[in-house]
Amino acid sequence: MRIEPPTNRKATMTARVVSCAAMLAAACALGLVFSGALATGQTVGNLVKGFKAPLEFFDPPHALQMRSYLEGSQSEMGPNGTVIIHNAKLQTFNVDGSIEMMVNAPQCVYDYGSHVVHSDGPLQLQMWDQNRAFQVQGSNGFYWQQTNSYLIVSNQQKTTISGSLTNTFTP
Amino acid sequence: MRKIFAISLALGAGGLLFAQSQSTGSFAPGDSPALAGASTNGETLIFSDKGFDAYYKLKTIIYHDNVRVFNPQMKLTCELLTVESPELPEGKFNRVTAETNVVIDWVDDNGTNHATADKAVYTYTLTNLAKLPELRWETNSLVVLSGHPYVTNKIGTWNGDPIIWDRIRAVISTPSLSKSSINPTNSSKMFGTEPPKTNSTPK
Repeated sequence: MRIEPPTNRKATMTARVVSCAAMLAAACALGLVFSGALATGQTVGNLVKGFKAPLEFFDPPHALQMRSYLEGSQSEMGPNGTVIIHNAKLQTFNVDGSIEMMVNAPQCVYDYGSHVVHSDGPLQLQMWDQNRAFQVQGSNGFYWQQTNSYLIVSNQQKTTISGSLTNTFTP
Repeated sequence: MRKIFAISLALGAGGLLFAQSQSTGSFAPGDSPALAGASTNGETLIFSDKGFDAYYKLKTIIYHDNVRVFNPQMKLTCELLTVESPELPEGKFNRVTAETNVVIDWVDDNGTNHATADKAVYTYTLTNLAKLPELRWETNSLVVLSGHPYVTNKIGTWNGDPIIWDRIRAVISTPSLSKSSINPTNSSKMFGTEPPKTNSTPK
């Protein structure tokens, strides 16, 4: 039976500890991200600065590609497991990484349980579709459902479409 | 009996519906107060009082309540507007459906046209009729007005349900023409209103 020199065993142990620590750190970071408490700044009372959270990833083989991402300048815990996000920016992405939709709102609420982002206030929305660009200004709220890729803009809104509405094509 | 009244130059050639721009040069704001000042830079503006539902993966948006669409060539009002432009592996499919109290004003080479109906459906399709890799495209662009449709312009007025406007062939038809009136001073552009050409000597 071969006995390895003590120095090799120590190095192996060290490598294993480092590996475990890295995995633990990654797990903690992931947990923090999904708990919405990834605070990049300081905490003042209930307010947390620098909210950033990927909400959803694509299925394999694009499992590392983000599908939706929510960020804001500040966040605070709301009732029933919600988070109130200030100066929020919600983005959804295509599988190639390009932006599909972007919503900006002075304030919105993220509900972890139902995977919903909603607001009673104004919003600005931008969507891109091949050769068209959609810009929406709403004054009285929106409701975004993550699981169904479903967006409701409430009450009065103005949509501006740049580019042709129909797919003009000359074969 | 299916009556076909082709009014290509009257409504079709420079026509526009649902903001597909074709004849930008013919538009003069003074021609149509309803259209003047509605939009700039070729953009299309859509207003609604009760917002919209967007199924954005399906590329479908449904506007609710007092919907107003403005384009340099067109104004449309209705209560419910559904815009569908799903992504297809090949070809194109766009459909815009306006429902309830539909009023459309658009301009073309013949000035302002006015249409009302309970429902208007615009469909644009681009289909490959051949098997890949061969490509042989067919384009269809249809507007169907139904529910007491009424179309008027300086050529005349038309009633019939439905009124089908083939924008590629520039032909408007209806299977049940109920009423029409033609303005004789402007009807020379209509098919069938000019005297037939013949080599025979008039008697």
